[in-house]
Amino acid sequence: MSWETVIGLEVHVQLSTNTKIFSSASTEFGNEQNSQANEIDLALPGTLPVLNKAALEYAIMFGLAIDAEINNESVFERKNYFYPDLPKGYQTTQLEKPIVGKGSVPITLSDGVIKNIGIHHAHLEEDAGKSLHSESHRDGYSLVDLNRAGTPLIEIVSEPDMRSAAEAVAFAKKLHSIVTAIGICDGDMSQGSMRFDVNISVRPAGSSEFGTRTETKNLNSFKFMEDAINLEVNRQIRVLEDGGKIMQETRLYNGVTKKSQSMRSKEEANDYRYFPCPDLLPVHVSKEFINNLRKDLPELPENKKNRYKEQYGLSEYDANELTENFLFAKFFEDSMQLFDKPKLLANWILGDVASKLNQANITLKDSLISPKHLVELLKRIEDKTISNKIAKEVFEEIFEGKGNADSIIKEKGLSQISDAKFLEELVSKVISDNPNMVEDYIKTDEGKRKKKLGGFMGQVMQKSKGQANPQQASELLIKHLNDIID
Amino acid sequence: MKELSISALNQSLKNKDFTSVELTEYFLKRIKKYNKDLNAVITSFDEKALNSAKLADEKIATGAAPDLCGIPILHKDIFCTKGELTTCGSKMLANFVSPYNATVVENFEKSGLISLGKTNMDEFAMGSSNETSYFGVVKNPWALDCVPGGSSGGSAAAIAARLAPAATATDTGGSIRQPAALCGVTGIKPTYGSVSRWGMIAFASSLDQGGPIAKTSEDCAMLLKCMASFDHKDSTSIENKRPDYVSKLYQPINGLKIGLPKEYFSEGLHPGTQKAVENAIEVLKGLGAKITEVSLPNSKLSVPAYYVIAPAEASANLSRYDGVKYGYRCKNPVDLEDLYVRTRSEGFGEEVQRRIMIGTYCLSSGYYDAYYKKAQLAKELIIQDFQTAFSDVDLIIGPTCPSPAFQHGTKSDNPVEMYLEDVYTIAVNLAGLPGMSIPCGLVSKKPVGMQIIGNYLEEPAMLQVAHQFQNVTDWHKAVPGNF
Amino acid sequence: MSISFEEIRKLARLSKLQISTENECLVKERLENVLALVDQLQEAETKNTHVESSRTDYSQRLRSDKEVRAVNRIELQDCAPEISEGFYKVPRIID
Repeated sequence: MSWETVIGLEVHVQLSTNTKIFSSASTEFGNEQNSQANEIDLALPGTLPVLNKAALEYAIMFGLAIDAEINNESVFERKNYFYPDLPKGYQTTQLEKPIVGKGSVPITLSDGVIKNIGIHHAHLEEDAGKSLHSESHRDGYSLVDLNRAGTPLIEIVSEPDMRSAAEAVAFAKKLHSIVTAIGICDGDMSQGSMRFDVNISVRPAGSSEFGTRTETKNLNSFKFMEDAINLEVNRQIRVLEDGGKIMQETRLYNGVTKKSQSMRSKEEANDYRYFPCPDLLPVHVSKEFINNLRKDLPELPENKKNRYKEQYGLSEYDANELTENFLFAKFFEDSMQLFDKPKLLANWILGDVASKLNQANITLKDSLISPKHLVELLKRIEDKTISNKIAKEVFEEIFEGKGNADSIIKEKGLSQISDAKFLEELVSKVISDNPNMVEDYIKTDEGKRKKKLGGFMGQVMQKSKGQANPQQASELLIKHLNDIID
Repeated sequence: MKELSISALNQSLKNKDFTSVELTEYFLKRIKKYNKDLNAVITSFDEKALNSAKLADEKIATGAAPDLCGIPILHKDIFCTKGELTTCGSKMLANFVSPYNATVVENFEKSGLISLGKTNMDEFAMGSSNETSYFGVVKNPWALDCVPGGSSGGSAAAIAARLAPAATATDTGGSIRQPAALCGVTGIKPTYGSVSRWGMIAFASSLDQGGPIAKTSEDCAMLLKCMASFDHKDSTSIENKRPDYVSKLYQPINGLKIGLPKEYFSEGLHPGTQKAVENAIEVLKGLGAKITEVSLPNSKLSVPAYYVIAPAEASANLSRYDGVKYGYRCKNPVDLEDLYVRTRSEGFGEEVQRRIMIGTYCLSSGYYDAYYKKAQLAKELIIQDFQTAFSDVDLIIGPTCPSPAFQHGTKSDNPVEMYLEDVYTIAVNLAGLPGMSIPCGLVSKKPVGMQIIGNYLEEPAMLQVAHQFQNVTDWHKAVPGNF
Repeated sequence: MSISFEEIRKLARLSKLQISTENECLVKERLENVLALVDQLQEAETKNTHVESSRTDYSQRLRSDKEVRAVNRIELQDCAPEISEGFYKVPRIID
């Protein structure tokens, strides 16, 4: 039996406004518990909400970025349930009349095909607080921090258009690149700036009916999302193939144990009793308001990617990778201001820089590498002060904050040796020290000799502590070897 | 001093006939003396009030004091007062000391009025008799075995017994007008959005409005001028300029067109009440008003619609009372569910719990369309009725309550009997219109009130009619025997 | 309109209220009184009516994205029932 996977995503994006959606308390991350929860956030008796203009603007900007309908009238509703991190006992959100209507997001699949993922709608809502739990359940307690309560979110609901974990991840990454590029979200997933809920169901290939779906909540990394989807798809297929039925339920995925479990189900599904919030009036946005935002909308990743391809001749892959990550794109453009070598910069940023960041598990924002640093280093390769290989060593040092290219090269005496006399002597010595290798070289067919050079080069590099100019050394080796042959 | 009007008090303070300290002490003494019989006041500010009075006197001495500076005022215990208890008549907030002031309280304090204390009220403003308060029933100064009306029973009783010259109150379905009528005093609920709801503990957000209760229409006009303001912290606050409430007071009402809804003069109306209101209308005729009959055909939908919409909003507004951030918390909760359930079941009284459940019912899946949505549509019909009537008349007049004050406990068995007390007042809240009540007679020594309803922002005309009426009648001057 | 005990219990669960078994009958009776009242709404002829977007035609006002004043946690937590190092303490949440 061949199965098809059907995936829909609900993405919560924290808007990077200064203050909360309905109160003027700060949204800054990481401060002492309850130091950013004011009387409105605490739901003190008699307090009332007033809508943050920036939150509305950011939501509309998202809608514009995905070519969606912007609704002239939208309404806030109350979603009622009890939980300690929800001070009012209801969440103010939108239901029947959200701010952003239907839109679509194009993703590039692995084979290069472009697929449009439908967006059902996106709405504004407030985030809840956070809680910490004591170890034991018995006589246990929880500690509630309401700093996050009231932070503006947009919830983006996709159509169930994705058919694989890869598509879901591509979609999630695309959303991430859009919201960071237009500046409405800082994209820091470790801080919870973006959270994903995945709705997954399977059906026999070719069927048009949807299977029963399950929801896996609160995934905050692309890797976790991918793993969670694959796990759940396999689970569902196993259940169905064994003749069972899929229960509609909410599941939690544990990225550490790589297991998922059903959330303890309540006696009955929560009846949220949505109704329009009487403390807020309907939100009306004029065409003018929307057009002003459209005018000032920062460049979208898709457009930036195409521009990179045209303007700089970068490949689809490189342009995509650079523009998907807003910080990389900015780094790239800042570097380009200092050094007009787009391909070289792209290689280094997507190669060495990216891999060091990965290793250290930090983002560009937190790293010590600046465009200036990178450019200085690349200039030294260009003017042949150091070889590409040495440059990588120097880069490591720069990354750790041990100085800039010049200071490190100087300190470690890493200048490439291009002194012709020195190299001549060195090459001669290597050749004379290795008569067996020379014989081998002579015996080899001309076409295959290049490979044999490696051995000699290795010795040259070793004896010069890696500082011999490889190109020169290679030329000299070939010349001397050819002289011997002749 | 207790019979002096607000403007007379204002004048006397400026003339230094007496000081604000003397005035404040005078009323604090009256509260001390009479409150045990009435239970109208929950908290008396004593020390704090006298300190404010001292400061007011200093201000008056400079000659640059604002109007009403130094005049004492009581606040319904639904308005948050910083540093003092704000109980909302409930065990749930019996220990709640608010860290901030309601805008209403700020407005009065900025003008130099002296906060005397907090008045008793039906729990969370849910009631028409002030019998649901955690702090005990309030007694009607006119008949101590009778209710003063509610939910602002404490404020109305306090004014009737002259415990203060002014009081703030709130009205969601009639809670200013009905107690004002039953206690023989004047009270006005302005157009929805006129008075800020910031710091005014929410019952039904789309219906709640604050307003003053005092001895006369002129007093109310002056108090409303201070009380009403645009507040950017309240999204439902009207941005447009408020009318000048005192501007028309002294103008004659010749030619003013007044409509009497036939639905308000039919079955269910006590004959004594009817007579008193009809006599009052004759007086208005004598003053030059033109009286016609109007119809509000969807009147019978008002009480049912209200008892869907108000409890629905209240059920959500009261979800914040969970024992976590403030207020009552049950002892030794064994788990979270226990914390919520016991805190709320012990902290809320029966009427509040009932309304929360009704509200939850009307919003719940399967019932939302039949109840909540339907009630919103019924509300539209009621609004249309008023707009039709106001195309023919300037003001609408009728009885405030179906009968005079009833005895304690007589309407407690069937909640609906109590709800029908508000049959004439509720539609006004649903429509967001301004409404006021003034005394217009006595039936078996118990006051009867006449309700005046205006179109949006027509408070000046309403206050004008009321003032002109009070110029030629004495009902508003009547004080119950022992006070 | 009648309401079953099961429905009453469900309402109580949703509202986090507790109705003792002794009170159940009285609660049911009184709720039914109120429901009989609100059921009168069904008589309303509302087929051609729709809800106006706003009685006074006002739109939601927008607030500027600036922090107005710093939060005074001590002042705001003064009225809290149980605080532990600045956190609100509750019995353990079990998911």
